[in-house]
This record gives sequence, structure tokens and C-alpha cells, in this order.
Amino acid sequence: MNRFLPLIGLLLAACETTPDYMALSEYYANEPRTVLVLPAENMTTDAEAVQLFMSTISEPLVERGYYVFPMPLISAIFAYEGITFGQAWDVEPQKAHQYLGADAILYVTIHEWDTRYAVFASSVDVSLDYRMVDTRSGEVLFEGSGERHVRGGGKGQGLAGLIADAVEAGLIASLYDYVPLAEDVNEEIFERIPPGTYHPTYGNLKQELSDWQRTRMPSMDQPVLQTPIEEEQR
Amino acid sequence: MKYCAVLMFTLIGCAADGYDDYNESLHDTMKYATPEAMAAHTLLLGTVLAQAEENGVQPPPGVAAEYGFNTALMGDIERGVQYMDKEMVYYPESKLFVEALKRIIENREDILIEEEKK
Repeated sequence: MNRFLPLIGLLLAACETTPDYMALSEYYANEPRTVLVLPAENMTTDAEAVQLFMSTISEPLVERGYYVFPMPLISAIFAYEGITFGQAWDVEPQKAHQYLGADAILYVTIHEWDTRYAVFASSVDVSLDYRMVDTRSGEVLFEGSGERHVRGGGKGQGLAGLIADAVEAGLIASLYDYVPLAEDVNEEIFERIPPGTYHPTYGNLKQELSDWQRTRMPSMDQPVLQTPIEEEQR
Repeated sequence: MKYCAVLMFTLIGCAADGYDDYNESLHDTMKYATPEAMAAHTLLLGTVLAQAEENGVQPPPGVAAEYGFNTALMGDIERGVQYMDKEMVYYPESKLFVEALKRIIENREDILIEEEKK
């Protein structure tokens, strides 16, 4: 699909063990500092899902060390340029780099944003897909998905059990909001993205990466490999 | 160099204390899109900036730009542009983005001048 995708899995594993320096080298090759988060694609029937979700996404990315363009200002720029929210995903990544200085674009799809309440059982479901693309090369830098489901009721037996179920189902439906669930998913997903320039671990990681790259450089004493044509000419 | 990055984030972190209510305030602004919601959101941004300036630390990304843009839209263009320029000082990578915002303000100013002439 593209050359970065196989590295993503390695990168994820790297979060818990020794970093995968090869994957990190690829990721940091273009130094993504600034991220443009486009209005999420809404695959649910909840018209408010995008607004609610978009208010949750900047803060965790900022905490991950990235410069994130504020959503209301991006809306203002798009409106000024005659681009509707629906057309935002059609904007070429390279244009976002040239016009705004965005190094990466984050595309999010909302698959589930539902509350189901049926007296004796209820559930709150949030399911999200994320894709981050390098604006200069168009390569996918990161892909991930996450979901949260909260269930209540549906377990009781007899009248007392049903009453307890109804109370629990009502509590779950009224107490659990999508926003904290979405915030939870965001946090989980962004922990998998290598830290940005303003993250406290960035400097150390870059130093480690630089040390690792130095150990991989060919020694000056080694003969330089030549292509077969060059060999023939020689 | 690595200590600079750590220090920078620590400073942003300190300034981000007033940033806690940002998500909720942003949601109200996006949902209701009323002058009152925008004024309340701008007030919050101003508080975050004031705290950062008072503590001599860097505000979170975008806050100075958003405060400046809203302030300019609400009529105080000079102060608004001043804060948009501050965003570029805090975060040089925001240069193109801030310039795009300033073009909107300039264009709006031109429209207002034209309307006044009529």
C-alpha cells in the first residue's frame, strides 16, 4: 500500500520496548511539527457528533508535542476560501502545506456515536478511525482505530433483577457521555504516535535516533558498492 | 538542545493550567456560534494568555492566534493583529497560517471601509 504502513506496527510495539529506530527514522524524516485536523467524517446518524468530537481532539495532540491549528480558525480560513466542511477532505495535502504550513493532516472517521436505551438495558458506543498523512509526500504516517463501549442492565432475574437492570440502564444512559469516551480513545491513539517537537521525550529520542544512525553509517575504510554498469566501465 | 525541548514543554505545561476549560468552551462556540459564546471563549483565551504572560511562559499552540483573530473580528484590529503576531514569535512554524488569518482580517477591514463610504 505504501512503504510506511508495515512500519507502523513495529512503531507501536516500540512504544513498550526498545524503540524501532528504522520506523522512527522514516517517521521523523520530514519532521512533522504542525498538524491540520480536518473536520471528522461522520458515518453515524448523530448530527452533533462532529462538533462534539472536534472539541476533544486538539488538546491531546498538543500534549503529544505537536502544533495543532485551532479548529475555529481553520473553519474561518476554509469559509474565506469558499471550502465547505464537506469539501475539506478533498483539499490536496500539498496545498495545506503550501498555504498553511501544515506538515501533516489528520483525518478522523466517526463510525459509532450512539446511545441505545431500552428500559432494561442500555449502551453508549464510540468508534473512531484515525489516519495521519504527510502533506509533502502524501505518505501515511500513522493509522489507528479505537472504540469504547459502556453497557448497563440486561443481567437481572426476577422482578427485583429487572428493577435493578432498569435503574442501571437508566444510570448508564444518563451518566455516560460520548465526550469522555472520545477523549479516552484520543489519548490511547495519540500515545502510539511518536512524540512531537514540544514533547519532553522528543529531545532524548532524537538523540538516541541520531546515535543509532551514526552506528549504521558505512565505515570510510570500506569500498563503496558499485552498480554492475560501473563495474563493467571500470 | 534536548534540555531546551524539555524546558519548552514544561513552560507550555505550566501555561496550560488555564487551558483546562478550552474543550468545553470551544464546543459551546462551535455549537451555538453566537456573539456571546464567542465573547466568552475569547475571554477564556485571554485568561490563558494573561496567565502565561504573567508567569513568563509560552502559551499553548494557537491560543494567541485565536485570541488575536477573535479580538480583531470583534473590532479591535490593532490589538488582534498584535496577538496574531505574537503567535508567530511563540511558534515560528505558524507563520503561513497567521498570514492567512491576517488576510481575512485585512479583507474584512476593506469591506467595512467600503461600507462606511457608502
